[in-house]
Amino acid sequence: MDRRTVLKVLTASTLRAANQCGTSSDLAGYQFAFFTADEQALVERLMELIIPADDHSPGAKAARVPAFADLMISTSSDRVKAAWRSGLAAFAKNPEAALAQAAAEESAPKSELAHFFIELKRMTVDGYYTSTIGIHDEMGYIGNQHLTAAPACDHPEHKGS
Amino acid sequence: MFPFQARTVPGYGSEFKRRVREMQSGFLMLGGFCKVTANSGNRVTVDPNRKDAHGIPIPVVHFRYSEADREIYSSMRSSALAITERLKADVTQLPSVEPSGFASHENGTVRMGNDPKTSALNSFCQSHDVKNLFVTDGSTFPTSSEKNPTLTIMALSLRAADYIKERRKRGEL
Repeated sequence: MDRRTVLKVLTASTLRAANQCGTSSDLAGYQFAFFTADEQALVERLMELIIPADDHSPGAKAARVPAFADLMISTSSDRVKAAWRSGLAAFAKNPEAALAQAAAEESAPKSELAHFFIELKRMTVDGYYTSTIGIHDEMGYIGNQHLTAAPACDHPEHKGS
Repeated sequence: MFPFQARTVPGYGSEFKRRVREMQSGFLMLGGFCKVTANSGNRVTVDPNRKDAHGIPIPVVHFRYSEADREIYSSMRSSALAITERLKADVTQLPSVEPSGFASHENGTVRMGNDPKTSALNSFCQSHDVKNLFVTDGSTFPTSSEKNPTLTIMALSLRAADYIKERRKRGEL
């Protein structure tokens, strides 16, 4: 999908979300268009396993990454849709075990399971780290700031070296 | 900034999430740019038999990296790895062994030159064979660096336009 198409789709979905529930942020109230109810539940589970909630920030589910994925896939080609449908089916029986098995092959994927894991992880990463939760709560991004002095690095792992 | 390291850090789960977070303050991406050397074997021809939906013969692109291109790439790759070693960097993605392009500037194929035997256009982007035919885009380049070609294309186009104007006034076109 090229940038122009993505922008069109995102604009359309933002307007749709705005019409649905009066908010234009973070896909709140998004109506799923591609995933079945079972698939949606499975995607939520898999994505939360990939980027879980921890004591630092919420995970993929709270960041509405499944809705992001649904938006991207529902506006993609039939080939992409078919790949997600069959890819998810392969994870349905035992998601935890399938994920561990696929991730073991990540650096040199050969099986269909591993190839789909790479797609699934990429979608999770892209959706999560572009969400408010991912970019602000998790990564601590505060946007461009005016600084009157250059501050020292405050990361604990960089102290004393 | 979007944490691009998340696309290359292996694994998943809380350890993956923590590593992406901790890498954010020091994430570095090295990219190499170099030229592909001019080579007469790299060219675009017209297929004698196959036509597109509009009945126009389809173009056939011939392209191979030369030994020199591979050496340049290999040298860049080694330099990048030496830099990461010196930095004691935690490398999450190695550069591929084979050269590849993701920000390519395709130029050439209707190159300019003084000799009609080795070039299609003169230095004013004018065809040697067909005097009222001018080509004013990146295909005129006899060779090209890796740099963005647009300003050079604009400069050559302005030069060609002045040339056309003058020749036209003299009734030569």
